[in-house]
Amino acid sequence: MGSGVKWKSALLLLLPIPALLGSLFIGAYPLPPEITLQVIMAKIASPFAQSPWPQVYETVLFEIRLPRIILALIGGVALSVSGASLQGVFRNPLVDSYILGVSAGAGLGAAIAIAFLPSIPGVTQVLAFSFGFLAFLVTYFVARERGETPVVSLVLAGIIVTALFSAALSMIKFFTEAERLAGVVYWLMGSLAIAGWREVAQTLPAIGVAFLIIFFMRWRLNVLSMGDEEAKSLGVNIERDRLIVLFATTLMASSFVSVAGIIGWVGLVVPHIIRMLIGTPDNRVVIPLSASVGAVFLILADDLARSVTTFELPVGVLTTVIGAPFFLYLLKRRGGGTWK
Amino acid sequence: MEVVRVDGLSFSYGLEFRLKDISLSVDRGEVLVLLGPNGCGKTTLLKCINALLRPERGSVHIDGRDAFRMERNELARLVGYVPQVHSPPFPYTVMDIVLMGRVSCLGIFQQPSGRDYAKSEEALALVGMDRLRDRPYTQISGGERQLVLVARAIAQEPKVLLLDEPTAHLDFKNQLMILRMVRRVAKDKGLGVVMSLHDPNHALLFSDSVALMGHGVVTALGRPEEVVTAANIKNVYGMEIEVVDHKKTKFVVPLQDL
Repeated sequence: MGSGVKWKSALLLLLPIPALLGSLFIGAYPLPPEITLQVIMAKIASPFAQSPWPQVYETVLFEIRLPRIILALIGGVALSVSGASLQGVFRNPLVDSYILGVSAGAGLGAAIAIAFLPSIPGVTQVLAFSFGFLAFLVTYFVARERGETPVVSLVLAGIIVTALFSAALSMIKFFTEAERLAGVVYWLMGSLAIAGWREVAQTLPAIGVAFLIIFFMRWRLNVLSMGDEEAKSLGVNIERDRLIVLFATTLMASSFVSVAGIIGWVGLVVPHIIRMLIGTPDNRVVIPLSASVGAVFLILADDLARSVTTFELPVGVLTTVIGAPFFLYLLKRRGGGTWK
Repeated sequence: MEVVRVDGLSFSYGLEFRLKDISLSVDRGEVLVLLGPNGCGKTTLLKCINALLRPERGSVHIDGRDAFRMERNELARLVGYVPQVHSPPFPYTVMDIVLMGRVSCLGIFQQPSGRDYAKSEEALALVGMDRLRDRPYTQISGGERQLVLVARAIAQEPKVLLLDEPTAHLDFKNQLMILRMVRRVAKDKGLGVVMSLHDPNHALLFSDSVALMGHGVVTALGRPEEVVTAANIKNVYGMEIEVVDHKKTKFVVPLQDL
């Protein structure tokens, strides 16, 4: 690694800190920047001291904005790291955490909850997570044959499972009355509007553990991306290692999707940006940097979502609106992308 | 000392036999060439030796141990496999590729250390590719890639090297260079080598023994000049050749138009 790469990497790794702090200044409640700064400084200086300003300032900053920003950070990490890992496992740079059917599964789970069980608190998250994970398990076991799960079978099984779960989702939408249907549709667009410390507490442990697993397997991902036979020849227990990676990525993706709905394109675009900026596909670099840049990307997208208009925009739509054209730009500029 | 021993190995895809009752052995420092027409089972045999395919009958022993009773990482510390030149989906550097040869010595959550880098540098230098260490593997020539893959197999520190048509897609000069390199490494490091080749002349020039294969059976096995004869070649390829002497080296010359 050249020293230029090291500098760039260090810079990118630190980027979430200014993004997090800066985003505290953004939001619907009219809080003057200089006051915000004072409140933050005072909080950092003595976290438990009695504050001289109105309670609502603290509530806005530390009970509404901060958990939301932190959830965006966690989600950005979850989506981009799972995207980068799956791109390695599937040897395909155009893959993200939804290839195994996780989004279709989570969507169906959430729709069932919103349409039929609206009175039970937290049921949307539970069902979205369970169905997301269920979809992955179905994909995995459909693809498995004689103790092996070839990549091609996984892709095909993922497509089939996605199709089936999406069809079931359409069916539910069809039978749902207009008001609840709006809830389903809004959920599917992805939003961090409900974010509070509770959602952070619900997602952080699973995503944290899964991230650590991937983080420590990051070099091994390079070997997995060489294909089954080659990885085996090099001495990798491919079935075991791949299952661990798939499990960890699904855990990350469905945990986050369960509280935020479906937020697309982060997992696809961020690893690409990293590979281009740093000039290496080495996952020892790509994984940690995807985590930090993914976090920044989702924090900023959510800043836009809650500040551009007087009402909330669904952040999942924004990430797509920003991500898709940017991706196109990268493809055109590089004439086919970095993987050539 | 024997490092590869194949005994009565048979392999079939479904009902069709692809390999029938194959037995052979390779000593340390010995280069065995598998020679035969397309589809005769050379690659299948290499995959069986590397325990990537499980034979119906028979056994494979590497350094005295049953290849099918070892974990993949144990086997990879004994057998280095050199696939045909390929192009991976991501443009890893040459060093990244060679470093992958160390995975069998590392735990699932471990990253390569300075020692693994040293072994990889050494292997790259051995095949003369150290100057390309930081170049993207996808941007070097076919011959260079093949050498890098050999270096990766050497970085595994194996006792056996398996090569699947290492000369495929290479130009005239690179073919000879790679074969010379393989033979030198085999002698220097005392590795047993099994490689499949297409050209009988290469077998004559660069092997210690030849297994001539046709339709999944070994039709002749022994020293190159004993195996590569007009009668044996006709038997397997169905064509007339003559073996001629040129400056004490034997060469195969085709006799008739195909």
